[in-house]
Amino acid sequence: MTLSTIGGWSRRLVGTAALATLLLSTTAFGAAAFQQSPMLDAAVADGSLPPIEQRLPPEPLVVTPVSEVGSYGGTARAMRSSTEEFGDATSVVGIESLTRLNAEDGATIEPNLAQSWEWSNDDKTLTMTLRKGLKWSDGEPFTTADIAFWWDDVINNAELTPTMPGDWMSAGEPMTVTVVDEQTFKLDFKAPNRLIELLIARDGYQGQIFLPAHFLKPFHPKYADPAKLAEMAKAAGYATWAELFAQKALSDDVFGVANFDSPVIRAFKPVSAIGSHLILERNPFYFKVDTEGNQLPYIDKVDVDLVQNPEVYTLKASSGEADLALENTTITQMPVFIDNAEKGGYRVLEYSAGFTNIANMMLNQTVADPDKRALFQDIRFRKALEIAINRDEINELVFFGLGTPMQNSILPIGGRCWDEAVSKTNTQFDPDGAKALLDEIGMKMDGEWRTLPNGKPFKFTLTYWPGEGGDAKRKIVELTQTYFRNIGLNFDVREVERSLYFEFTTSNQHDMGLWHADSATDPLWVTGPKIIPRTQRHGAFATLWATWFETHGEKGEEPPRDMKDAMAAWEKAKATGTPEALVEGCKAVVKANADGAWTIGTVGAFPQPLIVSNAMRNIPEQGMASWDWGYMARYHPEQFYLAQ
Amino acid sequence: MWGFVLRRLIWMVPTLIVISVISFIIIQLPPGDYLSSYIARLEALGTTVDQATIDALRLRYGLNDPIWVQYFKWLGNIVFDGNFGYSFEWRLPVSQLIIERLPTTFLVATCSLLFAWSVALPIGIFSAVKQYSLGDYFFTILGFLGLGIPNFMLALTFLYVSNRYFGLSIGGLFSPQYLNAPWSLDKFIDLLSHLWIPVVIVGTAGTAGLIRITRANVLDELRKPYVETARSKGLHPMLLILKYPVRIALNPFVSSMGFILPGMISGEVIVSIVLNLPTTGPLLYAALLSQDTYLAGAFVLMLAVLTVIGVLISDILLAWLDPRIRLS
Repeated sequence: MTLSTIGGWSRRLVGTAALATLLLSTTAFGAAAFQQSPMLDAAVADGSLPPIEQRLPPEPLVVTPVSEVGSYGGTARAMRSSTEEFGDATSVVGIESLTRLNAEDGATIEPNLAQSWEWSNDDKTLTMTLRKGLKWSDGEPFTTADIAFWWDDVINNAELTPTMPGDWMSAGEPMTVTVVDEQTFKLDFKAPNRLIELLIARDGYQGQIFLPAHFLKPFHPKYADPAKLAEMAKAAGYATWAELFAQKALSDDVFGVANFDSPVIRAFKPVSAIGSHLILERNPFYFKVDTEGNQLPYIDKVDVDLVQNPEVYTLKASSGEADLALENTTITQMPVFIDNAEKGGYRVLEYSAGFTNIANMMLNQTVADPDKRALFQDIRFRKALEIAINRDEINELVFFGLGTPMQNSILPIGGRCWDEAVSKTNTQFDPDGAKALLDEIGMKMDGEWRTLPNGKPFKFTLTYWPGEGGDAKRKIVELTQTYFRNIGLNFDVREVERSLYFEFTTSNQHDMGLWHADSATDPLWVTGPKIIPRTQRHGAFATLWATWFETHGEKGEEPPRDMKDAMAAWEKAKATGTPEALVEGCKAVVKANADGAWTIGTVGAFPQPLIVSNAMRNIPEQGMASWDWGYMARYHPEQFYLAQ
Repeated sequence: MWGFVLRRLIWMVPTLIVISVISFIIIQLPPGDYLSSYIARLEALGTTVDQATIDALRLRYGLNDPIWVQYFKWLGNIVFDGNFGYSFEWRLPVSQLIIERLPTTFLVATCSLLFAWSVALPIGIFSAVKQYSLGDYFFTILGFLGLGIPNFMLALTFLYVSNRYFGLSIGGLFSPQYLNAPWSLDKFIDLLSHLWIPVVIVGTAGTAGLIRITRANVLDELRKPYVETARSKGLHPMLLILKYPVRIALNPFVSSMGFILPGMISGEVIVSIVLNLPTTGPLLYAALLSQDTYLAGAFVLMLAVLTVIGVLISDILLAWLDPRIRLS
């Protein structure tokens, strides 16, 4: 493949998943029909592991492979670049939540650990039924006791959880969890809370809504002798039992910090760490099979290598040292990946990156300087900035023409929320129009630059962190600087480190901020939209207004009408949580942002190169690789296999 | 002599206390704390963190305490329990993290030190004896190149070339197939085939400097009257140079010993990150970046202790090596 093939790629707006339909059904298999990986044969033969029929639930979840039934074996290689970054590892290992989101439309909720669930008529009670016969990786049964333990002894333990997480609150009060029987439990909310269904589908995994009670009880003072526990913690190098417990219970980011002790429910379990490598092995009690009754996963082991330097990540990915790489393979490196594909023995797939904008510019409407504030609050000024940008040029120079000029919006995947006209608001390149708008405001040229409307000299600065997305941000910022200077604005750029960026923007010390706009998929946008000044950290376009929202009017300044309306639309969508309400809220928020020119978008909906080794099979040809999509976890990594 | 050593040992205590205070303050100086940088990283990845969670974590990690309370808690645990604290980022005891990485760290550091010395000393002497010869110019140019090229650049180039033309796996100390394997001759050979890269890269930077120092020192000595005298007495030229001027030229090697010990732990951080070596350097770097207070603190303290011990050792060695110091 050469670069010229890139030009042939369609400028896909809608990342319609053309992936082979993943049919999920529960079919009854004859007991003799199940097969297991040869890796487990010896353990079954010597009796240390029960036979396959006793390990699988009576009705295992049947996964239809993407293209073909795979073969067992092999070690899949993945990388991570810090303790928090788990995208590549998650993509190979997968996530098991109670329910899951369909990969094609992004919104349909499907059974997983839970077989069924239903809402009461008033939408206040969610009753979930777990699959029968599920087992942890140590063979112990997985039941509602694991959910009760998480709720009663972890969330409701003040030492482990000092503050109740907001997700489990409704109308200011915590939910109640009732265990009906071994398989059935109820969540009761004070107010209707349909949103929780969505949150459980995305985040209802180990550590988030259940924990292995049988394993953790010996580390909890309710079940163990507190004095002995304190001793145990000290011996292990921890100050309190809570620190020891936190380590033993660790599973939210197993890839960053290995917890080799705890049993898991997912397809792979971390078994050892050698140098920078973390090794995971198949979970013999995993509850899914393929259409021919082969217990999944196909792959026996996963090797996750910690690679801290981005250049080395690129070098390793482009020489074929990973079976799957996507988290740090930025589009700006596309030519390198394509050039080396043949030699490195891999393919480059074009997935959709989960950004509506990698460089989302935010003019701070509540900036401290009163002159600047008056100017920044003038919508004509913000409009002038928007149309001064040549988005097609950015698209060509930074994204090889593969992106889409658009405002900050919600990605078109699923299509429910997408409105092309709204997303294209003020994206036309019109420097003369921009100059006319500035003239109209009264910003006269004085020598090289324009002044403020009152005649004082004017200069404004963009403060930003160049990380994420390779060097795309830096390139876009450089181009933007010339665009703004071309219309006579004295515009400067200051690069800062990540935490310093937040220090600046949350304390209102910036003229303009810049951040990547993710959390931009439907329906998950509702959990963390970046286009309304919801929190200080994501309200760089109106820090004091964001403070006002965040502190419920105690601090900061009262925002204008349109921003309050957009916030209300988001809060309503969140509180109602029905699919219709989510779409309605989404449209309102996107439109408010575009009409109000709150954030300045450039180019979005661009592809993310997905590096897949030639041995790695059953990977959908198209899809989306983003954080809120769970990277590849939605594409059933357990049915990926390594061709021998 | 023993009185001298004892005095120095006693002086180490207040020095270390002062160092621990300063290092703790320096670690706390940047705006924010571990949590703010942790949250910034999470946000960069796409996670949204609500204020309640942040407050809860801050409480749990004791980050609300005033800095001096945090300091005394930290120091108290080290002195009385030998507990270096808990790494927020890795969620493991600090001591466990560091100890895991010490063997490979010392292996790489010792090898590159030996490499640097074994290359620099003969070349330095040669350059001095054959001053302004073709060989001298050649090595001088080479030395300056070694000094001028940034190490990480050299590392990246090595990685590229060794992968592209020799098919070696990139970075690390072992090929993937040997990672899990027990020690064997093949594994040892595999280790050597990876080890030479960091050794040469880390060594080169030191080599250039050492060549210049040796050359200058030997040159100074060569012109001294005692050398002339020895020469006129008909002493073999090789023996003469090795026995007298070189011995004195060794002094800077020994007096730099104080910085070799800490350098072994923190040295060549960037090279280690680029080469993906399981050494302490990248750990220290990440800890400083994420403001992982106790891990970074343990490192800084350890570096300080090693520097102090290193300086002591070099003073003793110097006294032993050079009678002028011993007897004055």
